[in-house]
Parts: sequence; structure tokens; C-alpha cells
Amino acid sequence: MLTALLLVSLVLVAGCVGREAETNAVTGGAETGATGSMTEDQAFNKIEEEMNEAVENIDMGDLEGYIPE
Amino acid sequence: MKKFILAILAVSLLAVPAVAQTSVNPGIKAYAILGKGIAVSTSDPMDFIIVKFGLGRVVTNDGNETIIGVVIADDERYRLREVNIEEGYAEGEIFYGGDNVGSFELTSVMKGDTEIWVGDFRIGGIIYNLYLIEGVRPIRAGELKEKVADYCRENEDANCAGRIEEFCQNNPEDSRCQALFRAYCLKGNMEDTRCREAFRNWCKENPANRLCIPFELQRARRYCEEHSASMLCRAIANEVADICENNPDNEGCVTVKSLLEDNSRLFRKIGAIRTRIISIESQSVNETEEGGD
Repeated sequence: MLTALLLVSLVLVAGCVGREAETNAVTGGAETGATGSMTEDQAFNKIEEEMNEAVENIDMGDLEGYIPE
Repeated sequence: MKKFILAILAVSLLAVPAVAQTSVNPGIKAYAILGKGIAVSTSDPMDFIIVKFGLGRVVTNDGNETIIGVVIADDERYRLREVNIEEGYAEGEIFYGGDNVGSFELTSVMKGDTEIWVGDFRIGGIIYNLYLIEGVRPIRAGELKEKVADYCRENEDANCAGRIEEFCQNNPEDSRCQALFRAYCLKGNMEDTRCREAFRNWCKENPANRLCIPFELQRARRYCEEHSASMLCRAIANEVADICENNPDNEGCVTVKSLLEDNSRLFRKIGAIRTRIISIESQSVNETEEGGD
């Protein structure tokens, strides 16, 4: 009986750990900067990092026609 | 006997944090705006700032979901909080070292393939007109896996068969994966610039699709309520009118007509084009190519 309970507990742990690993991967791991934990400071930094990368190739000449002369 | 009980207790205690962690899925859920542009003082047009602007929907460790952001104005770095986002619209407060130092209110409009965010940027007691060009930020393979998994967990979709999320991570350009991502986007996720980028690209190939015809109009709705006589709104309205006159039964055109009929401010100052769209008669509703929704 106790052995069976121990086995069930072990299966539960394995399942939870496996699911946690999957959750971390699903969250995006290194690609999104989320590895299963993110503080607000880390979120600000990640947004800034993505912002800098996304705007790298912006040609400010594209603004022509928007700014009033 | 006691050893067995202790072992079970120890194993159970190990399980608790793992269970607790799976209940939260922290990270960046959406990148709402990632742009760069220029802020021009309304009182002195020669007073201007180069601005980089980032906004994202975030879930932090404590499970709170919030929209926060960063602004780099010349060399100063500010944080954005108390943000409200609707389709094609964003507003919020600007903070510096914990102090509220300003606010912003932006609407978006498409010009060709480029999304522009324009509006007020108030900082240090000065009011600026801000013009931002949205950067290009396509979905990445690992993120696609995440979004497809999210969508397939909650929706019945024939494309979700098998371990599709794994397949999509390895084949992000596959048409089924792209369709699943667009379907995810249509479930209330168009605030994410990665979704808008996916639709921009897809709509280039499918301009008469029922989802593509209203796309620019939906994005520019707020802008074209306030600036309905602008060249940008005229161009969007004329483009929609041309497509819908040639495809009067397209469901996308029915959507556009409904948008105009329900919103008297949209294209208000260009009444002739507005009337031209509303007066297009449709006989039946036919769907063209599916968007995966």
C-alpha cells in the first residue's frame, strides 16, 4: 500500500516536472526572455531589447509626408 | 513504516513547487508597439526629440498581467505604465524614477505596408506631436510553437492534429502553421505587432480576402474618426471602395459597410467616398480564401 503511494507520488513529481519543463519551453525560453520566471524589471528590459532590435532597420525617411512642414 | 511515510512526505513536498509553478506562465504575452520616430513640439516645430517606443503585455512572476513599456527620448530612458490599448489606439502615463512626468495618446494608421503611430506625447510640461514608425517584428519559431499550443489547447481546429506545435517550431513557414497563427491572432490578439506583421504579409498575397479588405480600415478606425479628411484616410477609403465595387458580395465588404454604418464619425469629412462604400449593393455573402479562423 505504502509502496503504491510512494510510486504515485513519484509519478506526480515526474509529471509536474515534465510539464514545468514544457511550460518553460512553450513560454519561449531564450527567444522570449521568459524562462518560467519574469520580474517587472526583466520585462522592461526585454521590451527595450526587442524594441531596439525591431527598430534597427527603420528608415526615418519613411516619415516623409507625416510631419507637417 | 515511518521511513515510508517520511519518504512520501518528502516526495509530496517536492511536488508542491512544481505544481505551483505550472499555474503561472510568466513572460511577454504580446508586443503592442515597437517603434521609432520623432516628437515635434507643438509650440516650437524646431524643438524635437528622437524617440524609441516599446509597449508589451506582460505576465510577471506573481501572475499579474499588465501592459508596460519603455521610451527612450534622446538619451533619457522612461517607463510606461497605466497603459490602455484598444485596436489601433494606445494611451498611458510616462514615469521617470518613479515620478509621473507625462502621458501619451496614440492612434495607428497604415500607409502601404508601414504602420504609423501618431498622437500626443506630453513630457516635462511640453506637448509634442509624436510620429512613430512601427518596426518589423515577425513571429519567431519558438514563439510560434507557444502560440499554436495556446490556440490548439482552447480551440477545435482540423490543423491542430498531432503534435502540431512541435511541427510548427521546426517548420514555421508551413501554411498550416501560418494559418494557425493567424487564427490565434483573430482570437483577440491583434494588439500584438507579430500578428499584424503576419496579416500584413498574408494580405499582400490575398488582398481580396474577407479578412484583408477591412484590415487597414480596422487598424485606422480611431485615426480616421479624428482625421477623416487626411490623405491617409482618403487613400484607405478609396482602396476599399475600389475593391468592394468589384467584389460586392465579399464578406469583407459587408464587414466594411457595417463598420461605416455603425460609426458615423469614420470618414465623416469625406462623405462622397463614405456614401460610395455604403451604397454598394451585395446580393449574397460569399467567402473567398479562408484565413484559418
